[in-house]
Amino acid sequence: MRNNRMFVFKAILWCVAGLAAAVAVLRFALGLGVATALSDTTPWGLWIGFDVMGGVALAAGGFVIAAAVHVFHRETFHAAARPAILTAFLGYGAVAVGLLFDLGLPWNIWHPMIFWNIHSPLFEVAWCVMLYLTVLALEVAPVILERTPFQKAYRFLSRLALPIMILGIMLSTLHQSSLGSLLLIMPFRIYPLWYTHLLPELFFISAICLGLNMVMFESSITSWLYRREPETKMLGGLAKLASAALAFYFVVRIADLAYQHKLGLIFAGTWEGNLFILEMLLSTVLPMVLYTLPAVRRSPTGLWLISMGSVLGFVLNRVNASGLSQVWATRSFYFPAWTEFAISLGIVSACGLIFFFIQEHFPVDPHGLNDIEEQRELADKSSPAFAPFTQVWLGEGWRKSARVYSMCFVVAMALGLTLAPKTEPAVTRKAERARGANVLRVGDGPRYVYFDHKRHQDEAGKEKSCGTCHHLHLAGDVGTPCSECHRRLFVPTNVFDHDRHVERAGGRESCAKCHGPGEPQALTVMKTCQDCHQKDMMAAGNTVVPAFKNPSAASYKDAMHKMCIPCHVTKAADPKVNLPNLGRCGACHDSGTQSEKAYKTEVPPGQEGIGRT
Amino acid sequence: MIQNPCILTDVTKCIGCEQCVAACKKINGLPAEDAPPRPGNSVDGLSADRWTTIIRRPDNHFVRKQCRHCAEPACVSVCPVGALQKTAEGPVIYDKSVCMGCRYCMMSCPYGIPHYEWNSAAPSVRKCIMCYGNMKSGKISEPACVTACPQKATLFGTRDAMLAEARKRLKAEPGKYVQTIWGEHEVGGTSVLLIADIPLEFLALNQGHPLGDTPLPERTWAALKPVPFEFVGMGLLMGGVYWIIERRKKLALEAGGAAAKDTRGEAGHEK
Amino acid sequence: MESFLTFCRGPLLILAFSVFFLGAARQVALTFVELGRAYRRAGDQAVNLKFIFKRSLGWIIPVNGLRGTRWVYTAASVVFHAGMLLVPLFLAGHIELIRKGVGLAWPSLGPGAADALTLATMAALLALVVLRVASRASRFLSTFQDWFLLALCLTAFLTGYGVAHPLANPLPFTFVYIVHLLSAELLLVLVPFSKLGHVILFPLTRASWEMGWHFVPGAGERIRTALGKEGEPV
Repeated sequence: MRNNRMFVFKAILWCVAGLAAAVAVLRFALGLGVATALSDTTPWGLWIGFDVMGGVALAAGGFVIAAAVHVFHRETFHAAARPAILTAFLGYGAVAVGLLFDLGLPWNIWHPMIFWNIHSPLFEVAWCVMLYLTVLALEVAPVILERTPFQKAYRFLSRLALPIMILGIMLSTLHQSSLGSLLLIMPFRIYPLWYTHLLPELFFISAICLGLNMVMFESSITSWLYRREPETKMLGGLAKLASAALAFYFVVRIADLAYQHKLGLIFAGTWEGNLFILEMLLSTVLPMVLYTLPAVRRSPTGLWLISMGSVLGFVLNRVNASGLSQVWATRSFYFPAWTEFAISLGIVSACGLIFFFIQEHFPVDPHGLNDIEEQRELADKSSPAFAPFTQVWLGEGWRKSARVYSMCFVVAMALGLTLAPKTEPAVTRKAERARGANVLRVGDGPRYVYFDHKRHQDEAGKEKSCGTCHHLHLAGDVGTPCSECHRRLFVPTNVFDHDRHVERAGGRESCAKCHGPGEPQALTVMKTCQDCHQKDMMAAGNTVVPAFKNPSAASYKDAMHKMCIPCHVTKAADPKVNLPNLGRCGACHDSGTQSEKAYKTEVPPGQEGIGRT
Repeated sequence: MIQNPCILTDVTKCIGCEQCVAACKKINGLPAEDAPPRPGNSVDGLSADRWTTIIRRPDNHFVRKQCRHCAEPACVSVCPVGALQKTAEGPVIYDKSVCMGCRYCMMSCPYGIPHYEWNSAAPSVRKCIMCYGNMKSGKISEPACVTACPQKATLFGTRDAMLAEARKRLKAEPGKYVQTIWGEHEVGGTSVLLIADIPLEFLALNQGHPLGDTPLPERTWAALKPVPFEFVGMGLLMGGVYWIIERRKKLALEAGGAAAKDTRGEAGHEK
Repeated sequence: MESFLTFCRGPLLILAFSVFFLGAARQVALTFVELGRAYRRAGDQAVNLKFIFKRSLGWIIPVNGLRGTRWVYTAASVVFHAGMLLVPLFLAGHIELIRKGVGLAWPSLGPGAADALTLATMAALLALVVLRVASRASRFLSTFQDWFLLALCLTAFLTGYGVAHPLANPLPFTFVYIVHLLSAELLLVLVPFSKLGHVILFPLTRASWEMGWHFVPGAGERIRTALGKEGEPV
């Protein structure tokens, strides 16, 4: 029987990957500003907090299991070793790819190799990740090579396995802790509950805890997807180990807080305090206690749920330390744009797909591979599927899947290209510097107006009136744009060039020439166009006049289309004018050579009106 | 160019005319008109196109914000490739050809100075460089913002001279000034000093708390110094554990002799 | 109505183009995979590339067809295909739209030539429909898809002509514009998923057709055996 569970899951992963591919195109074509919600106050967002910080920690299962199995000889965990190392390899690959997205100049990613700064923790992380990725590739290579003709290479790498494993553990120790060192430089950003001199040590210990939980979670989910018996005995052993590791982490973290006299902050009832409680409960306290219960250790569902909770909790820890806890200092709340989520999830999906591919074609788990191969043979023998509308044979087995998956990818990518933002988000037309200042910036350009906050407040209803203008939950809301209330000041026009009028009339002091001395914001005392332009444009018989008497001036497009075209059309019909194409779009719109043709072509008499049809 | 250059700004003298901003934009070739701000950017007005700005505080206080050119800059210490450099003279400068765009400098700056060109497909980090190139080549003798100031609210000289000037002013009018020179000891001392009649803690990203006098790079270096030892130590530990367990197993096997022939043998994973 | 027009000209147009390009790339990739498989399985692995090229060229320039008995059909078909390619690609308004969207532009057809070509295409299309109805064999072989796509092409061209000549057009301008956009977008979207795929798969069809001859004789019989359908017509 076909494994439909796996089929649907993979189709979903392909959809997410397609969406991410679309966002990737925009991110590299248009820059970070368009594709992310990052800002100068929050220059690191989801891609660093989740993809890099979380990703490296999630891949910790590789070195933890390698140490347990190959160094400490815990043979019970042997079944988890190869999947865990493969996950680590893909996880670090994901970190590298995620970095390519996050770096402003990704083509310079190799620079740490030649430009050295040993004082930078990020320099150390970069080197360790580079080396560890190589080490992991060497660790994964035997799995790929085992059933290929390259037996010489396979035997060579297998003999090297132990030194490579130990080198991998050494490198992991360094950069898992260095990710903590990364944050040591920012005591002014990170909330005291997360900032401590022990950050590197805490990151290392929590990576071990997270690694164990991740191995359990992954093993459970793989057996569910492939409909296999869960390896309960091994999971139970891992749970015991994880419980001990979590207890150690808990003690170190709380003791450190107590030593710094920060325990009071946890229960202060602040947003950060509650976040801390949530993180600790989910990642540490609950699994630590529950794993000690034998009933829980025997239940695959229980272990699956608890390990997932713990994994999420530790990812939350990384996100907290590198992002959420800093809202306290930056005072600007950053929420990732959907495009950022799309890239993060897309990278994870791609890793999942590669993981399944390797799992299904190479002896990561030899027993599982046999089952899969049997299923594949069955599928290949089943009759090919037929798509009636396109009149195509879909083929059998994997070729049918390939058609469906590629379809998912293509449709998702097309949707992504349609939905993704094309221009940088900006605080447009929002009033700024309202707090305490009497000068307000409005509009896209540096246009300043005098703004009497107190008077506005008094007229709107004293102290209780804040909500009239602030916190209206408009897109990019900082303050309410003036246009919300003073609609008539913002008539939809660009026929009227305010800046040019200001310039011609004599700069900033000239406002009163048009706006009247008393009430600059009221339209009643404002001069109308014809007050100055009586001669040039308000002459009798000009069709333009009625539109300009309207207090809401016509937009440029309306003005041209509604006022010019009728006359153009009349003239075009007039044989005396002899410009038959005058009424066509090309007469005014510049479309290469066409405009000249449309406007200037001399048509012999007797054929007028042809161009006008 | 003088050694250890320093800018002293006297907040009490500033009238907020923003001539310094205009001069800065001109000499650095920045667009005269600011682009609309990104959502989430700080309200101090600094941006990739505005390297110095005037912050308006209540009761007509105007505080100029710019890069502080720290004595031990956090941004320089964290840059993994050394794109940000503290020059021999003192100003902190940036080299785009080296930068890889990780934005760690922006995270590490306690004053939130480095800004990013978000709308570019090949963005750089932008911040005040104290007119380093122009002063080095002898084109100008002091930063453009200092020359532009009509009130002499912002002065230029060696750090020692500026500290002496600041102390002189604090002493001359003790009732007027807050008796602190901002930047004298903060995070190890900065090359941009401020004196004012209002507290200026708000310039740093620390919720109005003082930043402390310890240079920030020391905090990371404490963790990075032992790294080689940790690396070797972990290797020795792992190798040692492996060797001990392996030897114990071997001994057990020998002791068990023929009776334990069906044990799984050494290193079962390598079969 | 106006906002729907904006929607059709903006996001919907991007969606249509995305589906068109990505779907086309997918079809080409899949066809190559299938071709590679067929090549590996074929008994005779010598493929005459020159012959494929010649045949493709022969189909693009059907000189022989014009001499044959169905020369009207061939001529109409050539005019129809030329119009289908040239008018959408080289109309000044379309080029302007693309220039605004992605910044690419190329020389355009003059308005007179465009009008003439549009009318010729529509005439050829109608001729093709008449021929399809007239011939017994074609009528019976035609599926819903054939009729639907012809109708869609006609709609796109007719409304396009209406948009270019607003004064000669009795229906509301915006309505005609929207119908034009929707029909054209539907055409684009359908390219990778219908017989319109020959726009991109054309050279590859020749190749796969050529590949078919290289299977050992009786291969079809073996497939039937494998499917358990001996003796049934395929």
